[in-house]
Amino acid sequence: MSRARESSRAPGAPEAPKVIGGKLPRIDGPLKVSGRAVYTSDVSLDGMLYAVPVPSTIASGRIVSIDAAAARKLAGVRAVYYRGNLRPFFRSAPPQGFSGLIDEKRPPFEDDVVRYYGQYVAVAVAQTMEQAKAAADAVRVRYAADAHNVEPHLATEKPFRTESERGNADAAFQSAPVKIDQTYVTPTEVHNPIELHATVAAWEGDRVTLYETSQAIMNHREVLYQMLGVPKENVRVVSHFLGSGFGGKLWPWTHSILAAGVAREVGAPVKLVVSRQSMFQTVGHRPRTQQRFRIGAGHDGKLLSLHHEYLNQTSILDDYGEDCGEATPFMYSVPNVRVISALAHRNIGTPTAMRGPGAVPGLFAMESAMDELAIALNIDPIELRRRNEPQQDESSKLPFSSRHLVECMQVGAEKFGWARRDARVGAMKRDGLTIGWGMAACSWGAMRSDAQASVEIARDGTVTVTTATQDVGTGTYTVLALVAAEATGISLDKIDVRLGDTSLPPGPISGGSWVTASVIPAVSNAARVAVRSLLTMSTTGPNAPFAGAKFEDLQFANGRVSRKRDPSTGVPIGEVLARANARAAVGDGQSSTTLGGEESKKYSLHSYGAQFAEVSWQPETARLRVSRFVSVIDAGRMLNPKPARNQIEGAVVMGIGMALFEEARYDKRYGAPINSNLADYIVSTNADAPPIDVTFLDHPDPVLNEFGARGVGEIGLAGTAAAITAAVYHATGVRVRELPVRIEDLLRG
Amino acid sequence: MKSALSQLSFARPRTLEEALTLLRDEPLVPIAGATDLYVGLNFGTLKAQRFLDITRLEELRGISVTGDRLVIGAGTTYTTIMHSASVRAHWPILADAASQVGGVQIQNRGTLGGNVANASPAGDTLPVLAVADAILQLRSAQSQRAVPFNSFYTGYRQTVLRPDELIVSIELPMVEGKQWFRKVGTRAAQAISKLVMAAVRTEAPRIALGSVAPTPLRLRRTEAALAGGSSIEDAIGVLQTEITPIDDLRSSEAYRRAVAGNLLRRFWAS
Ligand SMILES: Cc1cc2nc3c(=O)[nH]c(=O)nc-3n(C[C@H](O)[C@H](O)[C@H](O)COP(=O)(O)OP(=O)(O)OC[C@H]3O[C@@H](n4cnc5c(N)ncnc54)[C@H](O)[C@@H]3O)c2cc1C
Repeated sequence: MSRARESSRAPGAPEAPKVIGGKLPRIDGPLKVSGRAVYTSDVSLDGMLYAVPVPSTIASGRIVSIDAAAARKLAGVRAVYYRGNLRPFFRSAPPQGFSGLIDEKRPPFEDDVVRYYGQYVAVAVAQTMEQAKAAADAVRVRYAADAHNVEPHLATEKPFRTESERGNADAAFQSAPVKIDQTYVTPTEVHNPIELHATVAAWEGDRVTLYETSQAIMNHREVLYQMLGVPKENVRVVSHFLGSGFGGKLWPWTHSILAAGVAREVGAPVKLVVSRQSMFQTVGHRPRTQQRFRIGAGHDGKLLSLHHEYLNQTSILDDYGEDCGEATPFMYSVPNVRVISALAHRNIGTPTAMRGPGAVPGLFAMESAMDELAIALNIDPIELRRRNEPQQDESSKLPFSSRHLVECMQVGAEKFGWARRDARVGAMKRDGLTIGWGMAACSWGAMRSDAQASVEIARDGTVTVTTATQDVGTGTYTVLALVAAEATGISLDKIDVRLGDTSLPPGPISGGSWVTASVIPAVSNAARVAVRSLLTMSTTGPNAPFAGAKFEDLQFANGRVSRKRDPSTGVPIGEVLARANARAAVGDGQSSTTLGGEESKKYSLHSYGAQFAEVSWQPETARLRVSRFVSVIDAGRMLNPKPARNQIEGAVVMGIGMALFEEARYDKRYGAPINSNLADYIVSTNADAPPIDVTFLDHPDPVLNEFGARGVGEIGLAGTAAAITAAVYHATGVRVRELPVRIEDLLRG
Repeated sequence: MKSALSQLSFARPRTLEEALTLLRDEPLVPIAGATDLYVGLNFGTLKAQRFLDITRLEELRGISVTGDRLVIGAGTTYTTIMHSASVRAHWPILADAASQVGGVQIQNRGTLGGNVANASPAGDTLPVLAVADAILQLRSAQSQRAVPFNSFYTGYRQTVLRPDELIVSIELPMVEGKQWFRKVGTRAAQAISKLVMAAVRTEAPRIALGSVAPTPLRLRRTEAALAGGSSIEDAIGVLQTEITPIDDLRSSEAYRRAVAGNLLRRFWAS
């Protein structure tokens, strides 16, 4: 396997420290386990007040009146704001690329209309959180309610939109010898990171600092400065640590705008922490999808036609499209494809991206349909996929930058013991339980976005890396420290990575699994430039230690600059910088996006994987557990396999939740989510996590960056639910096409 | 409207006497592990503002064997119960039930007395206490009385406990015969039961179910049928007339009926 290490090394750097590809735990781990890491809701400022919003208790209608007199009289209450007594907010302009994105575009209090249950209609500000809560509860709001629509069955009056088309999918389906025509449903899923969304807003004059639970601080600033109507440079957004987001913390939500607005109005810093209950209403969710999937195939298993027709829920005002057909056009070789989509507007909050948006629900449908086809044809599901392996991306007609799906399935089959599978339903038993085995393939797009980074090498030999991206808990601090160590030859304990502050060089969003791919080229470039600047200072200037030498003849190793031919001539960094009267050697680096870039015109860029699930089922109670999982991932080269494995494991556990537990359900009478708490919205627990065997193929992607690395944040969730429902079918004979699986439906007799 | 926590207050007596005197003089809500209570406060379903912390009361703690009874202080946590050799020796299914409650944090805080007093039909230890014919020792400042567990509940979340009384201990008479326990929840931990069953295989079998009626239910007629030599299928028929399960967020009536029958069959075959 070719190693990109050589090219990444600074000119004159010694043998690389071999930190990349090792098993480094997160460098921020000790801060987190000792409670010293300051998360947004931990931020406490002098004179800070607390804001608690008042959520609407209808799902559709108008606010008739708001009576805050009683609330204002309560102890500690400073103010109650609502439409009319709070300076209005602007709408932000449409986004440019990945900047300026917001899903719920209506600013809070823009009109008197309520469009979903839980929409903020007022906000109370008090000296303590409890006083603010008591005040919020004491605000009396009268509504004129209209009929609301939270109907789970999705339908559209508008024509479907064509997402991808080639050949004639309908005709090919009609004439196909073997047909699958089924509808698959994924429910509303709520991100539910453990850390609640929060904003702490502090104004100084017309400048504001926003401490945010944000996966995208640069974007946050871009939206907020517009909505608040202040110059862009007056907004600073800080997010040092995140208790996870899963996409729910990518774009700003109404609470953040409210917190900033009320802090400006009361003239004191304000903290607003969104309640768990409100997190089911006001900060996005993966919308319900309903996908009709038709496959036409020959008796030999060759695909003739794919027809993917899907709808997703969106809110009344915003058109959020869940891109379920993302993988359909390129996943398999098939001449006739039609992918069409439509939206169904409901009195429910605006959806947003959730881990693997589009592909995750989309692959549940496609991979379930493929499993049903394999059964209809009596062909092994791996063999069926192998027979339809494409030579190129048949939708774009581009070569794949790197695609090893067949190898993923082969390796997975070996690890899982697939050859021992008895394909008959209910035929496999163990300890009085029925065992089911299932598999699915998966993919997720690979991308790089624009990023800038700076690296400074200081007199004491320490390195500071800065970029305004953020670590959402996935190990970004760690991987950037690794890259800087690799590029400078300076040991990890001397490297300080600073992220999560818009005053740093602009970095990318933490979404789409592209942070690593995007930022590492910028950091390694910056580090190389910094080393070169150090070598230049060693050769130029009146006191330069190697005055007159060519910097190509010098090397930087173990914190010393020396002649390559004679390492004993080494001069420590501190001395080089002191002689040059420089505080530090600095370098700036950047990477550019693949979006519309050269690579995306030449290559189809995706990661792939194969998921294998074993379930065990107890027939008399229908009790169901996922008892074993094998995940084989082709996501380029792994820079730091340990946290990468954590990402896949976490995604598999989340996928078990998606398959078996998670669903937000709406009360027809009130339009409210009924199970808006973690007792009734069921996510997987540790006890539900089976042994998970994760393998990375580790084939570098030669196109995406010099390290050959793609991201791993999302792909582990793709295909997981389909593998599990395939296993459930194998054990029970019941094909679940509407998630989550309810054991009630598996009980026979 | 929810109570703000700052408006709440509580008394912290050191002895049972002191606690009972406080309870006599003022209606206070006892707090043990607070694992149910805090949920009620947070949901706004518990309106009380004055509380009585009973976690310091030695008299409510501990496990002992007295004569033919296993005596468990009402304030004993699940963790203590799970690890108790006496419980494992005499009522192993109580240890099983305790080990399937919530997760580790809940087991460390939640108490047996709290499970009983909370009176949820889904309480996991309750079917065990039902088949044990447990006795609850209740005390107030004026009186002490022993109430059979099986007459403690009078309706959905209603008990004979008076506002000035505390549950002091729970006594489980020892029993011969094989003990049996099954909990079915949606997930592997932190699961509210869809159905929970405890049983003892003695000459006169004892069977109890949770989550199939407004209160934990001892299946007297099903027991009698089995003791009288009915076939298991006939006994399941009787069981179906004793239970009144409902459809709710956690499961369905049909599932609960079918699984109750299946579990009875499984128990009887074991
Ligand atoms: C996350 C979570 C998971 C859970 N999982 C389960 C589960 O799997 N199975 C299950 O059965 N339960 C479960 N519970 C419920 C709860 O933990 C149990 O019912 C527990 O036994 C309650 O005990 P406690 O000591 O915490 O009671 P508390 O919450 O302190 O009190 C509960 C009620 O009992 C009263 N009370 C307590 N002690 C006495 C006493 N000695 N005398 C008179 N009244 C008293 C209180 O006034 C209150 O009304 C769970 C709860 C949570 C939060």
